[in-house]
Amino acid sequence: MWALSRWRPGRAFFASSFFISISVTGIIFIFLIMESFPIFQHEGLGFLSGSEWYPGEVYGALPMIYGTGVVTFIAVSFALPLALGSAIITSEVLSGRVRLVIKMMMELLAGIPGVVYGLLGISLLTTAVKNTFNLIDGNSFFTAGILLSIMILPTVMTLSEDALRSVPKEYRDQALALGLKRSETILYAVLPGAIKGIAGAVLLGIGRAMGETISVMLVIGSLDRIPRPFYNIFTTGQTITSKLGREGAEALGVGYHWNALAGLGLILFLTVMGITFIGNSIVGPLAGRGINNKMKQKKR
Amino acid sequence: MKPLFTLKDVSIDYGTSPVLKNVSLNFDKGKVTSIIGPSGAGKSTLLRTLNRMNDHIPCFRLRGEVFFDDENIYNNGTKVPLLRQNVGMVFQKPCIFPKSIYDNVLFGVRHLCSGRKYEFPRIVEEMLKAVSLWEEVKDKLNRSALELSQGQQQRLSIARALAVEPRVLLMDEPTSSLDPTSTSAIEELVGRLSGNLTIVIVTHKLDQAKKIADDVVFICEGKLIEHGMSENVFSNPYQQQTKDYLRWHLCKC
Repeated sequence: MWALSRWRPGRAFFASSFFISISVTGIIFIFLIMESFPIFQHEGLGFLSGSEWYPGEVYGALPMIYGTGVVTFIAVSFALPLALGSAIITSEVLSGRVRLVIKMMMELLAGIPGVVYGLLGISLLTTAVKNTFNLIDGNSFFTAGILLSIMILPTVMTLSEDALRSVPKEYRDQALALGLKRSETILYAVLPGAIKGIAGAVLLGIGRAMGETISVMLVIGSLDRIPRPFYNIFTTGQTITSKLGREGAEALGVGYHWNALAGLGLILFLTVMGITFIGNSIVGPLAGRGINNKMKQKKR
Repeated sequence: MKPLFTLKDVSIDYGTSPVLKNVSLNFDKGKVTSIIGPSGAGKSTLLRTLNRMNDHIPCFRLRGEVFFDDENIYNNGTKVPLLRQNVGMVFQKPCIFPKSIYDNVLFGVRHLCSGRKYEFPRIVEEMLKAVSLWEEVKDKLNRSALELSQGQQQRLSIARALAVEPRVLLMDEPTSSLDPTSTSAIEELVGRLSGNLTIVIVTHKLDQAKKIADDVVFICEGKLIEHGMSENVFSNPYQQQTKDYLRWHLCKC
């Protein structure tokens, strides 16, 4: 396939970009495995299941894994209904021009750096959460989850909106012509056609929520513990990213501490890669399939 | 006989350009009425006025009155979904949902009369028989309807429209994307359905209109030129424009 006999500069450029990007990902992966190998040797599976983390003694990653899971869950539970609702309104109700303005604003929101969200989070959200729920400390899983839900909202919303728009207009006309109400048309004719795209949007949102570091670090409180009872989300905690952000620099090269952090990095890397891969493979082929269907119909 | 639809002085425009100009017209119960005219004459707009499918087009504006069973359907209080249940529609291109054949037939019924669940298998069989599709698909009702040919898909669309038991069926060039065999199957079907059902069909094929229509409406550039019984319009039209159109497929209106 890569016939060098037909040498073309353009093809060489793309081929080298392709190999560079693939190999960078590969190198990161291998680096993480090599750096984290000692901690798995030292702690065994206890690294994943242990809940104590004392540098120099014991390294248990469970509180961080738990924190990442809980914060992501809260973020998606709040973002999904809002994103889906606004995507439906934007795609099905608003006129073309207003829709473009909303989409543009959403894309702007998606571009705001995480640290800005983080600053807003510590100055406004933590105090609001503290006062509303009468807490001693406003830094909590809940605060981080809410902040993340705001951050992933634009991504989930714009991608869901794209998915809704890609449902052929004929479906809507057909459902309306049969006597379905507007709401029923959206529910039974439009949403089923867009459900895969929406699932992909949510997965990409999850990927972003799991990987977000600085804003979470600023509002989560950074204590390595699993709350008791475990569903008490109004306590301070830690996520993988906030742990790495706080301790990465000081632990560099310091034996098992560094290896343990690399191990956390590996867990996050694999999870986010997996989720993004699934998300892309749902969103990607969907767009392609729409075109294929149209071509098939034309051929007939 | 009292007409089912009465249009009084109906003018329609989308923003600036007028599409229909002062059209007054009756559609009789139980008959097949064919709307003919050159492309861009406003045939589809006229058809979609009858079940208010134009409402969703931006800048749509209607003046005049449209009565269905003595009720002005453009009154504020009109329940549009209910109107559309009574006035079904089949589109130019068959629109098939990515579901099974069975679910496609039931798409309207399932959401409009969910209480009749136990009747669903009977409805599917009856409707598919009505459109002569039953023999072809009875063993693969659970297969995706997208596997069907274009002609079969169009008949399936008609079955789905019939399943909600409309009193009127509007057809917007239902055979324009079909091969001759499927076309004649649909023409035959229209013949069988008329009587119980009032059918209004837009077509640009004159031979088709001649074959299936009881009444013919000829419109050109948004104006109603001629309306009468099919044999009269085709054999002995009143208007010079109709004569020209029937002979040359051209009209100067």
